[in-house]
Amino acid sequence: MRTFAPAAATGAAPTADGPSPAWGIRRAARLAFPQPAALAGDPVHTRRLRRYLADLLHPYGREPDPEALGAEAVSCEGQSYGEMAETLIDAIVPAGESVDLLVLAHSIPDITPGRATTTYLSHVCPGTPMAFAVSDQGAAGAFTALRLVDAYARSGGLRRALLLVVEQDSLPYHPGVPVPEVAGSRGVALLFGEPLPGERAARVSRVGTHVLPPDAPGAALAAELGALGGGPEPVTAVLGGVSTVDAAHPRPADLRFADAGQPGTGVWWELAGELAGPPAGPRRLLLADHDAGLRHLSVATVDLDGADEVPR
Amino acid sequence: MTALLAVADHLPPGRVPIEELAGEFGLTSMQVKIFRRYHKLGEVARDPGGSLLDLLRGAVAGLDALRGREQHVRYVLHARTFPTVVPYPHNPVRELCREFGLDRATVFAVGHHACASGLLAIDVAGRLLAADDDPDGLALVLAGEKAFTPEAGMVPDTSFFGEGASACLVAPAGDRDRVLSYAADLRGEFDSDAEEQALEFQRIYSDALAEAILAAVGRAGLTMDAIGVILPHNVNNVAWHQVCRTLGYPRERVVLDNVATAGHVFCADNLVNYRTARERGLLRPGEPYVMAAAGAGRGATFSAMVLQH
Repeated sequence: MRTFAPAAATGAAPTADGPSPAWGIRRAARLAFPQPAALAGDPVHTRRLRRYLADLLHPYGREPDPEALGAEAVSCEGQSYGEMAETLIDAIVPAGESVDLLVLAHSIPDITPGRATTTYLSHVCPGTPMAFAVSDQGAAGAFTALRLVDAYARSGGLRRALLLVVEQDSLPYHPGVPVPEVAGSRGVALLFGEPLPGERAARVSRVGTHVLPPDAPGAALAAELGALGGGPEPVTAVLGGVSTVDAAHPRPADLRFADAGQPGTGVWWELAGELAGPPAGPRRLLLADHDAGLRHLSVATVDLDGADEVPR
Repeated sequence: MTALLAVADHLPPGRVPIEELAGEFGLTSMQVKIFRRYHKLGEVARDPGGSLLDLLRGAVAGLDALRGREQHVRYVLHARTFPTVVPYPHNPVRELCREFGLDRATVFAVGHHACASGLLAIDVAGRLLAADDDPDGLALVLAGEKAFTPEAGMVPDTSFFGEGASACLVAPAGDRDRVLSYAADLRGEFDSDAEEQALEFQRIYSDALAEAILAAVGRAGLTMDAIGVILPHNVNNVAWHQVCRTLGYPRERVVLDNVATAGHVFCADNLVNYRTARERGLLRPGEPYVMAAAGAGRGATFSAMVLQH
């Protein structure tokens, strides 16, 4: 049982019961899932999924892809976010540690469209955390989930938090409109908390999603880079959903593009890689993800290796 | 402190007697009689030919307090009983936002607490608004779904889903209906189709829901004596009578009016019953009340929220 007092309007300022200034991302993990979920081979589940999707699609004049999920199908393709998340939890939560909050972010649905997956994840994750999912926001959903991790740490007392960003590459029906193609099923886990002795947590700040006017994201992205403050530490920008011509001006010295084939996890995959690497001195990452369909520009700043302690 | 600035709901006029649903769900006439006679279920709200957008639009159209405040709405949340309710990437909530001029809001779904996701969404909205530190910022929390497939049509041995929707404007502060506390008990061990787990879920249901209510009331620094009314989820009367026995709480102070006439309106029940409580004069200024719900979607969540009218 988790109980909460309501949030008081405190902004980003630390509160008496909030986390310390050192609170942040302690660990990161990223995994690819090239094989279908174990559940995909279950004929009972396959029949259940087919019925669910057939009824879901019927009012829209569509039906499940007969090749992927025909009437005689005994197996399906795709991933269960429950299975993916369980593997990520095993990979990232150290033995003997507990989690207070688990937030799952995804865009494309998985093969368990009616399942309260995070309730199950609360059962298998050490600490029986408060858990919920954020979806239906495209690439911005993970940034909203990140904001909520921060908000619950500051006002809900849930400091040991786990953010799981997942996407899978199978959709057994025609989406009806152009959608970004997903090259592979991937998941990224970020473990938040107070750093243990010998650890240094990466600080996250300036997380937000802007609804852009209907034009290219270049100007908005340039404004975000300009707002970083011109500190002494090097800045790396990791951009998702942004073409080279749209990339911000002035550009930071280190500009890289997330895998365009991973619209939901690309920037987070890059972040996990940075966090897993050896210390490279204080530096700042700007994560920016542009969802052209929804006209969202989502951003977050991550300070690594004590970059937030560098005088500016 | 999070507050509800305004609440509206929409129940479509269509009604289907539960006897007409028996064939769809493979129920015997005896099972239907038990639902009607003991669970006090009678008919469920339905909007044949209507879409999810139609249901949500009906609720938002009744939210008079939204007019003139559209540009202050920072977030629009759809609280989901079922995680996937429309084909990907179709998003009727975004269409709704365009219709009502909510073009500055970020739109997303929150859930995985099944029918208890509505209370979760209010808590989530309050925390986002508090973090923004903008006293004028607002969030619009929507709930309600279509009973589009048998899985979304009936809770086995418990209830039938009704179609409808609710809309709630959440503010970071206010004195209208202030949130005092929230409690959620996630029970992932019930993520199973096994018969013995289903029986165990039925066995612990009332006690677990009562414990969530007591936890929320305790977190608010209150006792049940202070709670003027409970706004329940509309699963059935028997379950709530058992909760009342466990709590020692008068069953007539649980707003069960809509169980027989609308059915279990997904995550919208608590706010549909808020409207009924207002109409009956059951919410008194300054008096705390409880919204409570249990969600079962292969996994169970028992939740309660204490508010002060």
